[in-house]
Amino acid sequence: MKILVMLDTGNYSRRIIKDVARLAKNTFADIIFLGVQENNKKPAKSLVNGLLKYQQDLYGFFPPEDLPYAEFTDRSWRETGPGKWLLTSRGMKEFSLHIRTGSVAREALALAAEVESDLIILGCSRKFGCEWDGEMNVPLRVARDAPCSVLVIKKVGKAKQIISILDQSVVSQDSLELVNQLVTLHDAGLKIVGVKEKKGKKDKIEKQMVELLKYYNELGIGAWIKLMNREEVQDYVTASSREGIVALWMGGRESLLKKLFSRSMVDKLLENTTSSLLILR
Amino acid sequence: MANKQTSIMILDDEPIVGKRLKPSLEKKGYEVESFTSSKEALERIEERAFDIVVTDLKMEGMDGMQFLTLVKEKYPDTEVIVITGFATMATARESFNKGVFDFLAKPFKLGEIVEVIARAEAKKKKDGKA
Amino acid sequence: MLKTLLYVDENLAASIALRFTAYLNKFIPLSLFIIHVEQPDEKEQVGSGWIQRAWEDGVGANGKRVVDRMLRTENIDCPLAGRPKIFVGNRTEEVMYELRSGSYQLYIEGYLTTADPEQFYQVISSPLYSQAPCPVLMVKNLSISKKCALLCADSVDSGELVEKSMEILGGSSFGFDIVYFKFKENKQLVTLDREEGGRNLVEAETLLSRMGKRADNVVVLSGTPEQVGDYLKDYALVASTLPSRKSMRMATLANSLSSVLLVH
Repeated sequence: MKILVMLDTGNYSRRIIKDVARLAKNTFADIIFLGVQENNKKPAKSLVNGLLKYQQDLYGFFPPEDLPYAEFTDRSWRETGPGKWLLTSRGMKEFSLHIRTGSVAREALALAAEVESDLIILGCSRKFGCEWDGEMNVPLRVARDAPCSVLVIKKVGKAKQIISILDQSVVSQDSLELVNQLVTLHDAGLKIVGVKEKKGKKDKIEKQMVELLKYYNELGIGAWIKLMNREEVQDYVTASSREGIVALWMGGRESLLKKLFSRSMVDKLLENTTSSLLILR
Repeated sequence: MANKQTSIMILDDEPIVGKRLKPSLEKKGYEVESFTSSKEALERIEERAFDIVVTDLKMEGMDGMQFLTLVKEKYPDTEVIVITGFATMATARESFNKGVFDFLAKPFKLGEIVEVIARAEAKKKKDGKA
Repeated sequence: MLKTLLYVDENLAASIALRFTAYLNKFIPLSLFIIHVEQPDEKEQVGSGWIQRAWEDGVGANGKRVVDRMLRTENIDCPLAGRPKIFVGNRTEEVMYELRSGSYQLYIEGYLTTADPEQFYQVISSPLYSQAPCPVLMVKNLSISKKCALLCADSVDSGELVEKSMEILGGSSFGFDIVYFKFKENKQLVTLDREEGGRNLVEAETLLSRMGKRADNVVVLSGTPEQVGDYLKDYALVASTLPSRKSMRMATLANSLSSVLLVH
């Protein structure tokens, strides 16, 4: 598994390192830290120091004998393109720091595609719901347009439940695997909530839910299904966000959730929920 | 590739893993056998050795850890790569204690496991065991 | 062996019910029979005498194919005690007739959980549930739990709850908890002192012990139907007396993600 972690010097970035470490400890994932700056002449000292500090913090969560990552042999950044720098180390697993120049969301999306990450993780400031310093709508834009799943961490620590909201779009094996890992990591229960459209497609969503229920049941994971009308979803999501991580399957082209949670809706969700939000693809 | 084809066994009770992996590895010149049942895989292990074994940790019938132990006991030179959809620190640690070459949590891209297999193959060649 | 009738159709609710029944069989040995009713449109019904019989045979054969397909697809690990019973006609009437004439001890059918208590109420107040000669198990989800809950509340007849539930669960290897529900609009579910359960709770515990059983846990919960319904999800099933009217307990059962055993 490859995890891309978006970081800046905000408090919300500092807070998520512990959760990233927990995921990394369990999955032995390749980790990529990304910092984005405005100036493109050379890596900004504050960002470099920040990223190196986060790296040390992450390593610090591992017992030394279990650390799958290596220290950097030297700290000279390699320029990989205009306004792009990389520092990488290869232990049993790869750990790399990327610094890019430009728009935070755009650079994160581009890097995720380049390195083929399976998951993007970012924190957000809860001052105005869910924001990122210095640039508007970063969590929203990343959540909406990423080529892979995205975890926006608002509430750090263990979650009791993963509440997965599902519509009639196709559920990918990768997103199932990611849910498995989160359920295992948090030792949580899994609720699969199916959103029905007023007309038609009811059978399709129900079939998919029952298939998922069987899948998780056979794996010995406590899972429950529940059907819901689309007008009930937002309230339900907001209410259940107190219980754990809300996961939205937004993969398929015909995704109802994509329509339902349009730009402003995902924004609202990010703003209104207290939990972390996982967008699955 | 060297003269001798590197042989790989894939064991995962989700057929999709073998289905995706096998053709891709065969295209790269590996000799691949794919199994979804640990019982059948075990029977095959009794018959012959593989250079590399890729096994899932959570399988019906037999625990992947048990399978890994048996493979390493019978063929210490075989490099075992563990994949799992239910990664925990404990399982990762136990896998490494039992001498696995690498531990991959799902989901992963095909390229990632192909790269790990290539590293395992390189190690075997370096050690003169392939 | 508990003589059990399971309704099978070619739908997802039945698919869950089949699997759950196989799971249940690990805890309660079942003598399992399957029933399916083909309900033709009245317009479709043709002729009389041998013409009608031939037509019914055709419809019945279709029903048999439906059941065969379901059993093949689900491939459940639970032996059947007899050949599937296929009928043509009104579903409620045929199931009721079979339950009465066959002296079944338990009837099982699937129900996909919605957030709508009204829909749940429509089902449990239907003649099939309110007049069934035996308890009805409504399968809402699959489970990996080894525990059942007896749902008690102020309005519940503890004697009926314990006695009737134990007729089904008494010989099982499930563990039991008694969950006492008190409605309150709390922000979060609150666990109260045991004394808050009052006389009804004491009676339920006493009856249970008289039957040689003991609850592993006794919990008094104060909250909304949604909160308690969610709490109940960790049980394989929740046993309750059949609510005869719309109530908070009815809404709790509607919100329960676990399967519901309705006794009366």
